[in-house]
Amino acid sequence: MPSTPVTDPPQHPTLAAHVRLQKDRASDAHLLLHPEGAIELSQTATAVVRLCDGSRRLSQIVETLAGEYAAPTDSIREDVIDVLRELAERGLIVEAAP
Amino acid sequence: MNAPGSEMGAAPRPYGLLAELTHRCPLHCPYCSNPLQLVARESELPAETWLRVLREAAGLGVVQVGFSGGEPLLYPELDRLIRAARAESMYTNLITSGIGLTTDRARALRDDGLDTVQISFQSDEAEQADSIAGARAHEAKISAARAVVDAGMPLGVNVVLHRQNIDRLESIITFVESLGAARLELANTQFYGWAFQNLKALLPTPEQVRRAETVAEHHAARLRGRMQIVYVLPDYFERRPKPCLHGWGARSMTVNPRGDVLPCQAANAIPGLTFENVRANSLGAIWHESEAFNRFRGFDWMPEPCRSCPEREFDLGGCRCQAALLTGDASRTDPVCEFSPDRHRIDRLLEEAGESVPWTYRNLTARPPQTQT
Repeated sequence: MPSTPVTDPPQHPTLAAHVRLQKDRASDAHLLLHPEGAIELSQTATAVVRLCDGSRRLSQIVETLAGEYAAPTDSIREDVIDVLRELAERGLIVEAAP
Repeated sequence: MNAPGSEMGAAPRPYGLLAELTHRCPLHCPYCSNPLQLVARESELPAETWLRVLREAAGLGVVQVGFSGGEPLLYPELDRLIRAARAESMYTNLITSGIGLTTDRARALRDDGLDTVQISFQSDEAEQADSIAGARAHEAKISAARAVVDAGMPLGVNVVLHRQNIDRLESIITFVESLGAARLELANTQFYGWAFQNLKALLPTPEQVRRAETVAEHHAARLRGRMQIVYVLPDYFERRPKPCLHGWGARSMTVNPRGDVLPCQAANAIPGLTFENVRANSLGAIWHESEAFNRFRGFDWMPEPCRSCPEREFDLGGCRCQAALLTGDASRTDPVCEFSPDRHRIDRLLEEAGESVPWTYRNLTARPPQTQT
């Protein structure tokens, strides 16, 4: 199938109902478990995904991480958007119900 | 972010376990991918052994378990196994015909810790579906799908496509959408096991495959964000082999109803390969040390033209079972590959596609139809 067009990341991101975030027992990484498999998250992705519990909007996730990592907001925002976009395209992160 | 296990050179760690609890099945599908020789009920593993297998699997790094069969709902202590898998933090998937999955059963399994359910459908239309399954099953499957959705579990639907139903793809997709499925896997028949025996009756024509691909693409885009559509290409129609299993003995394993541990559920098709059994050995010893798992690991087993081919990094040598079925030698290049000296065998099968041939239903007494090669 042709590659799908780039979509906007969810503005109010939350894990899809069937997805589980879990610390891996066999490594230091975190895994996203879903019906078709497991995705090993990078440290950046882990930091983003653990804030995707439906209680924060994208902008709040960026603020939180900018505070934690003392990094420029713009570069944090880029990272967050990349992570959310990729996981949303796989159906693992969705827009939280209003 | 990478698919786990993709870095080469790392010691292999399994992520997935397919637990085939029983070969008993209420359906008789002519495309059944289970081996020609089924395991009898008396030879099935007891639950105690499965519990040990699940613990050992989790210790090796397995995070996904698919309870499959045959029909896993026929295994008496399925609920215990699901609870044990969840206690080991594994993601649990039930791969079922749906027969026997009532609302009460679905809720009970959910409470045991079942994460997700995949139900097979044969068609959108009851008469055709029942005729493909060789059983009156379609209405019961619809009830099972409702039970899963009602219990709040994500519903996956799998439809195996072949010459008899592939032209109905549009209405099949609409039908599955109406069931409330989260995901639809449209799997073109893979020709192993019983399916290989029925190849002539099942293989679609190239025109059918092209039309189906267009339909699947259109609806995948239309349903984006609501129902995920995965269209599994029929690899006979490709020019390069699929990276089967992401590599032999690299990420997953199958334990069959008797307890034999296989690198791939179709690996019984490979002559001369013997499989060790969990009754005699630990899962870890079998995964790391057994001859069957090491036979096609990595790149060293490859013949030319694979050995010196840059594509080997992507296709990982394709499918060993397919090489065995079509050439009689599992170590030859996957005949799907355009560089394989055996590609003509697949081209010949494709040229013959479209002849009207009846199929043979799978059941415990049927003999396989004439072998196709």
